[in-house]
Amino acid sequence: MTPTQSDRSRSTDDDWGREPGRRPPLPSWVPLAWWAALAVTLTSVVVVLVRPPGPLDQPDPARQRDGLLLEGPLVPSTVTGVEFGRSPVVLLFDREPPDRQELASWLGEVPRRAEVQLILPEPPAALVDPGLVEVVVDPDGRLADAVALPAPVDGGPGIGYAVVDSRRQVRYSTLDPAYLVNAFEVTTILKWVP
Amino acid sequence: MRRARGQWPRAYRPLHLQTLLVQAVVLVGAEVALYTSYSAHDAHFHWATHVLVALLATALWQSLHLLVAARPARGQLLTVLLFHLWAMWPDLIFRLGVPHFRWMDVLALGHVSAHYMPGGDTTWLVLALTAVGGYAVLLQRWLAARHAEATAGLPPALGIGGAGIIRPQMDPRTRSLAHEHFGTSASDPLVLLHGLGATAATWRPAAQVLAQAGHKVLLPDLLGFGSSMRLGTRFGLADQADAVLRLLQHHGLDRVHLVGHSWGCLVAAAVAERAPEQVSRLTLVEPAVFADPDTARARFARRSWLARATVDDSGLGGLVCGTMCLLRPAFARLAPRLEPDVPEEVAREGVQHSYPAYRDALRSIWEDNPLPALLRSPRHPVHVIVAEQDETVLPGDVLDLELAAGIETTRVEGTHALPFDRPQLTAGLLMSGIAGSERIGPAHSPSALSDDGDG
Repeated sequence: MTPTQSDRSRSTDDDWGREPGRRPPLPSWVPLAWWAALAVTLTSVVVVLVRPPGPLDQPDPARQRDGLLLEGPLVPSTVTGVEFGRSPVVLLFDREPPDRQELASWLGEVPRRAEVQLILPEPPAALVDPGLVEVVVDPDGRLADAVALPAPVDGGPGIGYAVVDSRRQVRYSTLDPAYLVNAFEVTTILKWVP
Repeated sequence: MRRARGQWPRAYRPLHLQTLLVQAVVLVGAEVALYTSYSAHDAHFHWATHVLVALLATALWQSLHLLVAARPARGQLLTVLLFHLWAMWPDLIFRLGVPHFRWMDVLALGHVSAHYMPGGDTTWLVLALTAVGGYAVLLQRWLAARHAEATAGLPPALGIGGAGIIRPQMDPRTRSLAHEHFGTSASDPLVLLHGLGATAATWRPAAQVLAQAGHKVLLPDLLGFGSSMRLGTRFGLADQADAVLRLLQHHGLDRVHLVGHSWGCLVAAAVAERAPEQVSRLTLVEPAVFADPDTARARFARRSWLARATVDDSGLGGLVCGTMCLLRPAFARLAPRLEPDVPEEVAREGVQHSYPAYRDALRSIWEDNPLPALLRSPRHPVHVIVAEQDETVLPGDVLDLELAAGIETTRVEGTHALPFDRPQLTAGLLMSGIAGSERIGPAHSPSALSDDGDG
């Protein structure tokens, strides 16, 4: 049987809950209860999961590993014996030599066209494999200053890295206490610099 | 057919607990995965920032949807995930080898600069909870208004924007239509019914002429229009007719001369059908009736994209009209500039209606139009007035219908705006109808009038 127009109207109304006197199927206070539950949960999640910066982190977390490709300052041709301008240079800043295997793994992920230098504030106690990476001792922090590496919360030498392109322009500079697990970041930056 | 247990009406389904639970599971699972994708400890605040920005955006979107569409949006929780993915897509493509650029701020909800907010995630937490709290209050008020309507025995006002979102619509069974009242004479009073998307203002100039001539005139704003906008939740012809009859009862009027303009003629016909003893005669000014409704419907739809959306009831019409409801005061100010040929008060009041009232009125023209039957076999003296230059209701459309022999027809110079474009002429024609039934002439021999002094 073909439904009449009034049948169709009733069906539509019923679908929309438009019968006279039909109450909404939930009490009106429910949204406020949801909000209260959300406020408690969300506040707890943010407090528990988002920790304040550690001693090796940048005081302003927004500036650390922001992923933003810079049009930074030009560095001199040579700083503390490191030459710039021939190829992209990745400067790894650390306070002591990293684990050899982790460093080798990191180097394996980074494109070979970039020159990698490990910058330490003082001579290492143990010899770093010279075939793995070139070590530069920079007690005055001149390289860190040249690439505008920020200072960490504890005020000591920064741990992180910087990328300088073949035109000697700083394209990335960040603290990263866990730089050895973030090789993908350097790889991404290097794809976009000459 | 009985509703299956647990099946909610469509308008409330986005709030169904089971729906929300499924969405919550998907959301929490996805957020855990996204959280762990920020591998290092110092990046977790990135995740939190984007979640909180997404929550803020969701609350704003849900509030806007509720205000415009007058019902909750679908995907109450999944929207958070969508906004989160929108906010963090630069991080996802970073993994694919694209670093961040400043322009990504614009296309990713402030992806870079959101982190520079003073106070960081604490500020975002406060902002997000404030926005969600605002939405929760809005939703609470919306539900409370629908509960209040149910208590009054009304169907819920779903889809009625503007103030109807947070305030219950009033019961037309206990409150009269808003109306204007001219003149004092008790003999054969006139009730003038406005057309679609109009108000009593349409008839005001003609009513003043009639009142000066000693007639008592009532000008109601029909349900959902003008000052009756907050009255009622259903706007079918039967609802409109009942409301008009209650107004007559309120004024103690036993018998009236009903006059309709355009769609108002349908309401007049519905009143005459419902309470024939209370109607002395009917005057149909530019009645919205068509020899070929499909052609007329297509012609109406061609007027604008909004007209087409409304005719098709596509949802776009509701969206646009909901937006206009939200910005009604601004549109009321703007309307006279958009329609310079229309008297200012008519243009200004022309935006005072709810979308369901407009849509149902329009629908009644195509689907439930009582005029063809009335014009075939009227139970009262009927006078039909058409205008030669009317492009909305073509004179031929009306006169080509099968009209009963006793129906008087008059063709005059004018457009589809006779009541306010030519109030002297219109009032004169109405008074000539009142003067006596001797003017009732044969159908299809219309008198053509043009000299009226309306300027």
